[in-house]
Amino acid sequence: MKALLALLLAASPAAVETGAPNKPGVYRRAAISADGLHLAVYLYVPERPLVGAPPVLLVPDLGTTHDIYDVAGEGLARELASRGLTVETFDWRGTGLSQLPDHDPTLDELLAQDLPTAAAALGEKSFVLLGWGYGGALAYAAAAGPLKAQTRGVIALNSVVDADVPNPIVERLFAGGDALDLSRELASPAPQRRGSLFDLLWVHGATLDASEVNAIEAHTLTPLSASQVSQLSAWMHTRTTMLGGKPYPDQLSELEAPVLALLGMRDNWSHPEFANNIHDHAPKSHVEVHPLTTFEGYREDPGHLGLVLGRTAREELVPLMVDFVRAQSALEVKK
Amino acid sequence: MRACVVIALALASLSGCAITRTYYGEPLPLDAEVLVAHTADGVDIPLIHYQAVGNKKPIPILFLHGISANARHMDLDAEHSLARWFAARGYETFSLSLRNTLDEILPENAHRADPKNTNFDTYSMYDLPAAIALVKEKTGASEVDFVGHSMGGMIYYAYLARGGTGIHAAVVLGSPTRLRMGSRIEPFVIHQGETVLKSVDVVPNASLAAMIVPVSGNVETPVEDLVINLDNTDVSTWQKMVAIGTGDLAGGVLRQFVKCIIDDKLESADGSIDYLAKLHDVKVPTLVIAAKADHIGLATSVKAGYDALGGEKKFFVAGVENGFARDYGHCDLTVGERAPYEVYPLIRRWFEQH
Repeated sequence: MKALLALLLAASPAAVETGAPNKPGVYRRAAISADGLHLAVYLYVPERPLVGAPPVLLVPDLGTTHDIYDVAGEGLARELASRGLTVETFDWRGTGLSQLPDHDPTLDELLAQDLPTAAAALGEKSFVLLGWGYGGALAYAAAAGPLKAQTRGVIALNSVVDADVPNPIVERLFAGGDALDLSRELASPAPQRRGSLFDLLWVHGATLDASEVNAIEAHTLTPLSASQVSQLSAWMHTRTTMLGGKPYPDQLSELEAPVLALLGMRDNWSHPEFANNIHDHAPKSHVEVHPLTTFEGYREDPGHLGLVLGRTAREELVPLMVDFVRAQSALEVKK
Repeated sequence: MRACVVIALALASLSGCAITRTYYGEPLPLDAEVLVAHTADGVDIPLIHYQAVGNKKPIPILFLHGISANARHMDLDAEHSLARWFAARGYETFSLSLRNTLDEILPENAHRADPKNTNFDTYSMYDLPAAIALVKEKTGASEVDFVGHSMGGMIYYAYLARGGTGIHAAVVLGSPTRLRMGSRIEPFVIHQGETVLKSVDVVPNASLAAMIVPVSGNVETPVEDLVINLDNTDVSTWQKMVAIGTGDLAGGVLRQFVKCIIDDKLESADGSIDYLAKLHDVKVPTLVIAAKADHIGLATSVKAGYDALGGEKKFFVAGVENGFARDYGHCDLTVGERAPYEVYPLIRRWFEQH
């Protein structure tokens, strides 16, 4: 099925190219990590680049491929590129087209190997990181650690700061300690409801297109390794974890880049209350938090997926993100 | 002439309010008893009391409503009443109405508060202690169980932070504790709030609400968006809540909350007590419930209170992810159509376990 999707993408007008990125378009390249793995990175070169704006590195949530940012030719990657930003995203090791190591990939490897590799592939001296869910936690950790000098800002979509167990369903999913195949597990029926666990935990969002949702459920969810499952489960229960050899979220005290934190209030996977305390943990950073609710003037209270897909994301959140990125270019000019 | 017009309009408005309250509301049942607690600062406040039905539980329950509400929010009608639901299950129940929120049920000669002298601290220093004392005196119990909705839960936190005792176990529903939540209106509140509210003694929300009852719920306004999920609450229930469950709002309370937003702390009016910072020593077992679709007590803000608490505690989100039929809004935690089947049993279980 994955091969079929790749064929469909290749046949579409928005096909991914593999050549040198010398003109507007989407390019897939392989980047080699310091520990020797080939990672798939995807570069979106805009037609009319915003002068001075830093590029944006989109960090996928754990358990998803880069496709989450570019589903069937739509998504944050192309939306941001269409507004003049250079964008890159990638597949974590062992997911999508990135190479699987000969052992269980750990969260430390994602932080210490994959993120710096993807960042280096951008070929720019600085950038804005955009992270989502637990991927956003890794983006924060990178911005406070290995990528601190290059990170000009962080856009955080329900990015986990104070992890907790969101609900008994997620607790049960992570309880086994075995590798977790999200595409299989989330397809199972939700208790007492029509629809799947995926609908219940990820989908809330009135403006999501059913075909996008189906494509994500079918193609972009990937297994979490046993070591990742164990670490995530312990993290949720103890509310802290070790990332890159340092306790998280305490290490965010070193985060200095400005943060735009967008809170999807109906997210049943990565709760907004896990995300909003970033200002407490990152006192050196200028943090802007936006709870996304209809009362605040947004079209809906988005859930997990509604933060990256659908009309709310496209028409209401992307402009906030672009403004934030542009503000970071202004900061550099001032320097 | 102008005075006559103003008086005529005021009378029409008052009579209109009375008519809508009568038409959309309903009186307390015959088994409800109105008690009066006397506060240490000389004010009388009402409590609605129900005797326990059947085998009586040893610990009575005290219910406390939120901002711009009154005791009827916890006791709206036969189908939407925490107080009567628990009374039917063996608990003696008491629903406190904070000063100036339901004064019409007080005896004529009662000492009513001057709203000019009321702020958020007043409730935790005077009203809640007086209510707890009355419940203990009336029942002979040494402690009470407590349920606070919205500001009612915030008052509970402030009461405990001030060293308050006599609460055995508690449930807090949709109580925001971090008032700076990132809302778009915050810059205005921070820069203009104190000026705008400077000379406001009271916001007559009860009368204003009574005037808009006929359209409430039929036309979705920012008020509904803020405080109720109408997917989870019948329009008729909401209209009843607006008609009889709304209370006036003291300007001093609003001014104190503006200060809390400016300072990003839930603190006393003089800034001397950081209420959340004091909660780590608290040992009262507390269940903190946030509503997933709540736009006033955002789950992010409710969780801050839970995080601050010491002792045994549990955080629960009222929504489909936890098996509920709908994601709850702010007021449907107490008056939602399925609250008696989903929220009330959760509270009961907490009290039974403690």
